[in-house]
Amino acid sequence: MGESRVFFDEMHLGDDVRPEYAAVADWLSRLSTDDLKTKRAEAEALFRKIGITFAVYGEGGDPERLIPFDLVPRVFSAGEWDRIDAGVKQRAQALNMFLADVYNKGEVFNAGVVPRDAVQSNEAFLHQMAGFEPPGGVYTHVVGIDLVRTGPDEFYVLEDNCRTPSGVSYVLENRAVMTRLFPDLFRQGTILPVDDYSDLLRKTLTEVAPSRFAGGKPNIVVLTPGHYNSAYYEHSFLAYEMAVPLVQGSDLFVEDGIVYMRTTLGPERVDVIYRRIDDDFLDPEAFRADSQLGVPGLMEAYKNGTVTIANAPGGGVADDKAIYTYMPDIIRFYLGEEAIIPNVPTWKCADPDDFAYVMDHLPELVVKEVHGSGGYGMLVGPAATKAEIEAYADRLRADPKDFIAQPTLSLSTVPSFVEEGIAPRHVDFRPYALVGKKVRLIPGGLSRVAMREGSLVVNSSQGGGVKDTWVLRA
Amino acid sequence: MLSRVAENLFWLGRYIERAENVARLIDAARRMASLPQSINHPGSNEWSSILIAAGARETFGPDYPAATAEQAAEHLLFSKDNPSSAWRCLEAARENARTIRFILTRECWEVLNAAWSQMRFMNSADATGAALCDTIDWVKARSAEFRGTVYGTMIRDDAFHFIRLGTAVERLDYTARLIDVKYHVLLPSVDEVGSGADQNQWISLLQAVAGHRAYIHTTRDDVTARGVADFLILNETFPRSICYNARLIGDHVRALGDFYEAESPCADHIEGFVKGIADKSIDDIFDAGLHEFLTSIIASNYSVADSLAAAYGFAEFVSDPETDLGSPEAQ
Repeated sequence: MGESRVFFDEMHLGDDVRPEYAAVADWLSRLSTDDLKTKRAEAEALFRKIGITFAVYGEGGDPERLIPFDLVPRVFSAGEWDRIDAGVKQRAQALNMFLADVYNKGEVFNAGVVPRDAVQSNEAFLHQMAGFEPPGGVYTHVVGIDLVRTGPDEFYVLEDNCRTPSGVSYVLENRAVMTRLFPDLFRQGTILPVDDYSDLLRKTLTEVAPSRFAGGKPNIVVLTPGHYNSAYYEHSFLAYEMAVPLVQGSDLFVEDGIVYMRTTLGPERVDVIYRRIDDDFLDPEAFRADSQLGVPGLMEAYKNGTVTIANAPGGGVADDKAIYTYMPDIIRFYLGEEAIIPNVPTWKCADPDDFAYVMDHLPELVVKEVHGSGGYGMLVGPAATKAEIEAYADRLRADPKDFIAQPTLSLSTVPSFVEEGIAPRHVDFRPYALVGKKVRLIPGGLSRVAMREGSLVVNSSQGGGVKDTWVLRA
Repeated sequence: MLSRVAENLFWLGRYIERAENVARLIDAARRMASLPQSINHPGSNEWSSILIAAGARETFGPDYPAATAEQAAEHLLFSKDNPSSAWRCLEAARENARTIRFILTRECWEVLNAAWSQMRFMNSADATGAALCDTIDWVKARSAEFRGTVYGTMIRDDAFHFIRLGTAVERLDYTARLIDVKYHVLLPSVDEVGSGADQNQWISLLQAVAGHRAYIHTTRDDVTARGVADFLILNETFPRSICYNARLIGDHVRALGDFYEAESPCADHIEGFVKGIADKSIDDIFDAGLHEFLTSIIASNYSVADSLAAAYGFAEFVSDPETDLGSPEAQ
């Protein structure tokens, strides 16, 4: 267990079990490896039965794969959660204020906090949104903030996700499976429930409906690219849980600046679109002309104020990795507060001094593409071969401003059930903030775990797994 | 409700019912093939008859008149080239359901998902010998499970009615096709009409629709050609009869009108269809020719489906080139 001395293991403090993990430790001590294997097989059968699959097309094999589910839960104490909750709400609020500002007054530029060019020349900046304020002034209604931990009190924000963050269905299904397989664990009533996510989402979407709905019941839909999308299960799940239609672009049309869906009773007006398709594909008249997934005229209707799109188009400019480095300043500028959860120290390769430092320290750094996502196209220095580092250095030299670098963090571990039995594996965490008239979080989120020993890459596209995440009652 | 969703629900109902009916059709052929008399009539092949009834002549290929039990059962149960095979039906039902699962109860979805995840690993060995009956039972049980779950968990809104409409349209179609099997099996030996072989074949048909006891219970009479045709076409209480399913279509279209608080645009058309069947007597049908009657019923059933499609904005109409049941010359 050499690793546990180097990395913070969330279950242990020295030789002792940290108090929030007492129930988990006790439970694990009563289970044999065979018990765990049986339960894991049962969990997989349940996931198959429910059809919670992550579609990976074009790589051969079964296109409907299960995300590995690790039986050992991850636990936060009430105190730890309070800080995460406050930090995430602060961040979600600042991100929205930033978006409202960059698409309107631009005070953040005038004050010299963020360079105008870093925003306006960004690919995710949509000039179509300039001068427009969405209903309720909210831009990013569902925000996923990726956190990592390196010690008992050390949390960092690794990444903001303001576009269409996914994964929340796993949070709810993981919990459902755990309560079914291990009912005794939940009988003491110390674990806060997460089942009200879809109610909160519906409430949030209702709050941001166009103003003529004050107090009424808007027609909400979930817009999906279709059942070949890798996150289709989640789109379907959320529509089901909110009891709203799951629509495809072809189900909608715009007439006289109003969005309708094609129903068995003829056209029916749509008021709020929770869209899970990218900006580029939303409207072939405004963005990519070849998009088959979107709705012609949607942007025009949106700007007429007849429909709400959540999240608002153009929100991606706030979660770009180049903007990320300014987030502590952005929080200070709008809220007059220090960030409750700090950023990971980051070098911007666009900056010549930072670039020089990065080039000298590649073997110890993690380098990422500014616009990348999903763990693709990154260099993990300590795990890379010499040849890989050299190849990556060539890419960096070719276009420095496309990259940022961060120290290789000593990500915390949580005991996980792997081939060798129970062993520590690295984790991260994504809580989801819902922004309507207020900012709301369910007590929990998605813990992703790197199932391979020593691996720091937790992305599901790279073989990462997930865990149920408990927040304990105060 | 979205028109696309209504259309998918309608087809979901059809696919599941079709899978069940394919199984029942094979069961009918299996029972007929085990009757000793049929051995005396090499010209009457039950298996080629059900390929015709199932509309699978073309996908099976030109050798269909000589189809063996194994070949026909395999083609109807598992062939990926036959769009109406039970395999393809369950695949399509599950895929359809996946695109609209937000409207189904979780239980309904799980029945379809589980059925498909078993079916996808079945193969021709499951259509052979004693395994064939197990497979037929399995398919029927999955359909019953789905139907029961729809009944037990779905609220009685438009989604429910569209699923049930699909079921009724499909079942009506299949019962017509099933009765017609008899026509194809028997025709090469017209002089057998009224003989013991004839009676046993009608019993086989009744057994395949779980209607043998129901027939006796209702008619308290011998099994005769006229009696069985009357029962399977015109009985008002037998859930697989043509008349019962025509009425079911009418009921659900009226219920849709009530639910939407607006009479369905296809209500008149469908009312005419129902009346056209219910007002007939078995003498009318036999006078006009049973085969001809069944062919025309199948065609008007498709026009019912098309009128639903037009009324509720389906993207595609359902008229089917396989409406033609085939004529004796084709054999």
